[in-house]
Amino acid sequence: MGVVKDIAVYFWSVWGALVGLFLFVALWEAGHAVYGDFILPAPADALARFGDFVHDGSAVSAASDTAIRAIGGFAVSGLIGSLVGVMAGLSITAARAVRPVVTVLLGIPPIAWIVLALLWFGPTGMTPMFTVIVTSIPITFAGAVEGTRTLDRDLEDMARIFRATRLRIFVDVHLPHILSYLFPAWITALGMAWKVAVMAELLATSDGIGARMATARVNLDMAATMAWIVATVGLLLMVEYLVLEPLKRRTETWRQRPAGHGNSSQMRRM
Amino acid sequence: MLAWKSVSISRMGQEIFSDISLEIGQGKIVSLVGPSGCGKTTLLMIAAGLMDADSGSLECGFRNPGMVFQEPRLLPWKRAGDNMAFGLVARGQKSIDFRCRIEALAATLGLDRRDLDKYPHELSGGMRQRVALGRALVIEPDLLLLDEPFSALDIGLRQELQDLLVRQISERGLTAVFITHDLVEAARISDVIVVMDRHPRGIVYQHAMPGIPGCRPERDIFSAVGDLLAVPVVARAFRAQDIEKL
Repeated sequence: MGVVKDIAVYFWSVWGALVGLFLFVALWEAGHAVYGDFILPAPADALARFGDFVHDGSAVSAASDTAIRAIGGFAVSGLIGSLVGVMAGLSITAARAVRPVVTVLLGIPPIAWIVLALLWFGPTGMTPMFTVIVTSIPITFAGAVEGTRTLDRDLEDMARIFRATRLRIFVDVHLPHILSYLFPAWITALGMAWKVAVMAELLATSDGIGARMATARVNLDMAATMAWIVATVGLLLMVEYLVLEPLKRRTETWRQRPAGHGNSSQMRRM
Repeated sequence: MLAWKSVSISRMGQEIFSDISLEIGQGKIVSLVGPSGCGKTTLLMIAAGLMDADSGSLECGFRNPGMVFQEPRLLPWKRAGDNMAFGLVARGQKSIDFRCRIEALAATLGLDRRDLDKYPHELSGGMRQRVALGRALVIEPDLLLLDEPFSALDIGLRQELQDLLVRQISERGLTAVFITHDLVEAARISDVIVVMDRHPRGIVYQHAMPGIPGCRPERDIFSAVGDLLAVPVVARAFRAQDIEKL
């Protein structure tokens, strides 16, 4: 019963998001009415073109290529960034040593990485994957460091008095705190991963959504370009709202107000 | 028995106190009172094993200490019931074995089943402190260390929880060390009052209260406080505190 209610509440909260989405589509339509087909094709045309891509199978193959690169790169950077970040957070010296490196990494624009990756890996799938990894590691790293640096020593003292083992202190006292910092960082990193993957594909590969966009640009096919943009955004929204957001809700019920006000954390992120 | 034997401690080059000795008898409730910064909390931290003295020693015959802090220090990501069970789980006990015990204790502390299912942020300050008290009591401690557990609560609630605490302590025959700023609170619920000061540092006065804690008439409590404040060293300790407040 509780689960059904949770799902209902979750989907109800989607209505608010839909209002914004439709407003956006309406603006797009208005832009089309003003500037015409060549500058901005109608949303319906873009969607129809997207339907064609789904039909001939190119949408699925392009999306899966991009998804593997984005999600794979994100997974690697999430793992490395979080682990190294937690370790750095535990030692002040390590944090001091790594921080300038992270600042430098954050400062290098993704496009520069793409150039480097192109030279190193050539026009293969490794180029977008590598670019995703190096651009999102600093984000997950920073989240992990921040979470670890702000651990509550008072709670740790409490746990020690009640004779918790080091493992239990980590699992029950430290980990939930660190996760509450890591989750937003992961979501940010994942959003970035899609964009960077598509960008790298556009310049470097012959498959994936980015490569299709490059082709559409060469053919001056605006409807196809818009269709691929819609596909990218759709994928991103799907991963975020069907995987990350429910996961976050599950692990962070302790932070939320009782049902009905569950959107506060989302708002903060936006 | 719990005894600090000529304990000295300093942190960051600053002496917190030196050469303090204090003995706490079995089954006694001892209050440590005095201005902030006189080292009351440090004394308790040493007893809890969270701080090591630079010199001197701690003799502790108690096996199973429980502690309540000034803030509830509940884990925000655990429900109240799971927070209460923290000490039991840390000792490797299974939740089937203690579920009923937690609920029974919660009821005597004024928490019902629905409260136990709530997260700390959904509870009021008083409720949270009840949960913290429950967490310390459910491990069946033989020594209770209390660091100003009620100072953040308003006066009515404070008295209710004081009574609750004293009842639990006497029913279980516990030994307790209780830190407070409030001389009246100390006189109400303790067997022995230990007054600490900053100048001179350390314990300046000890006073054994007649009668049974928690059962003293208000009149006796206030006259005891009056008598205590007539002692010059006690008056000095508390005047210093008042000046600080201004």
